[in-house]
Amino acid sequence: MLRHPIPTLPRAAALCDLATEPALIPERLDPALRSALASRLATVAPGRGAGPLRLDSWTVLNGQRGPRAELGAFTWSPRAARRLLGVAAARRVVLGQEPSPTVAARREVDWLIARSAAGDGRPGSLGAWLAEAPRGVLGAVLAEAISHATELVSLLPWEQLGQRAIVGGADPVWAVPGAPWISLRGRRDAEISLDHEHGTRALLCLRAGRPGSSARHDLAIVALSDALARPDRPLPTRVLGVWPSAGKAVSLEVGAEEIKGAARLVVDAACRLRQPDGLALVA
Amino acid sequence: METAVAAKDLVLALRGERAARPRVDPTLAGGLRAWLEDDLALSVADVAPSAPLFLSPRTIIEGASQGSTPTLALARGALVSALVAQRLSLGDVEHPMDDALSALEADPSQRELVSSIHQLDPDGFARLAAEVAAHDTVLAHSLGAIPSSWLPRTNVRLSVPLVGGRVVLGAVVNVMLGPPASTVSTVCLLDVTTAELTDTVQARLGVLALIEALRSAAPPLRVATLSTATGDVAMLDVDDALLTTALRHVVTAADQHQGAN
Repeated sequence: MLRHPIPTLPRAAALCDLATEPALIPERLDPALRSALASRLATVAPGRGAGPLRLDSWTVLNGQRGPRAELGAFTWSPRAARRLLGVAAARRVVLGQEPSPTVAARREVDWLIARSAAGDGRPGSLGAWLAEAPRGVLGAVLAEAISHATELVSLLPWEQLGQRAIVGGADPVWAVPGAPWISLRGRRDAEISLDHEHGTRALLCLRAGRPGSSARHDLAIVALSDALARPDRPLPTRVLGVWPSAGKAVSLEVGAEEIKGAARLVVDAACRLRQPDGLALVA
Repeated sequence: METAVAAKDLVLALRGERAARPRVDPTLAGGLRAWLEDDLALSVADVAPSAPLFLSPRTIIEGASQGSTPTLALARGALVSALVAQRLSLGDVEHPMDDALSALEADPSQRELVSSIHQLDPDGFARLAAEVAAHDTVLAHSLGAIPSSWLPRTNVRLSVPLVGGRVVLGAVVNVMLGPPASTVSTVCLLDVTTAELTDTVQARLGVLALIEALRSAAPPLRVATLSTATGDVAMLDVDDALLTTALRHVVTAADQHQGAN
């Protein structure tokens, strides 16, 4: 089921009300679905020889649409680094470590470059790319990161949520049992605990552009990834998608049907990626 | 109301006095959206949401018939936009052309434009580099150091769907300042152009203000355009009259576009 925040100002308060609405009955992921999904993915996805296959909403939904060759191989760019740096910068601001997204993004970039210089980063990592980047590229990278961080920091009254909210942190990742070169990642920017005792939670995803017809599937795949990656917890209660460029927000109230539908999409995408023209998605 | 302002006072004038900021009418944006959707519904009834009608401040005010912008002007605009981003994120620019070009080279969506810049003969490239440096001098003079507490962000993309996605109002704002509005207007928009200001600048700013009002549910406080060609600035306080005039421009542009097809 999709729900929308009440269209009143301040928007952060309306979104917060929707995000923190208590969970009614915590649902758990069906163990049969977990094992069936693992088995299907191990069977239909490209083999180990094709290298690691990292699936997320973007690769799954774009993999549905057309030949893989159109998607191109991954390279770092200011847009590609936007979310990673922006979320890390927003986290610094929300934790009170830095006064503003601008200062926090600069600090995050400096930290990554220093880590790379110390030999902590692997070749091809964001830090390694930033360390080699000319000044103009760093300016563009920072500009994107600052915009993302500002959107995230302005989205909810974080100080009011206190320790219930976690901005950033690692995305939930599920490595397929029996085929660990295949993994499913949920791209989410923040998490809000609804009931600590029962482990119920809301996930928050910032997305670019405006919501399209696949927005619901995008959010469902995030919910599925999170449920698979955290078998000790119930399903996430809801996944909020926010499109700051369009001023739109929507909440997917997660249930068994949404999870099943997302699992079907993931398997379909893995099948498609097995086709010979599809290796560009493997990054 | 247009305000005459010197370029060096631009950012201060945009933000204005905190105590003088107008209260947000919480029903205004919803009313504007409903009015716009009603007036657009008939003219875009045949448009499929999968292939929406895209309208920007430029196409709304000057029409699609203005023809395409010459590649060199596009290149200059993109390079100067990159410098705006760099000035606000890093605080300074050392080598305008090198910095701006490397920023474009890192952006896969600018591949064609970058290729056309690299294809310039040495004299053409030197002329473009000198122009970009001159535009950057105006930027340095006008933008100065903006406090990070004003939440400056650059090249912000706006994309507002209307009438079930049949129409999309889009814009890229070079500089946005201020937190999202709650009780008073707080957001300021600055558009940077490498061309001279023309008599359509007010109308274009009005449309930009309307798009932001629809996106954020609150009208921006002020909108301005800086010409890096001349250093001229046009700045407007956003009020109901500006927004309703812009709304009529949008409806007219959609009607004309659909009439032409």
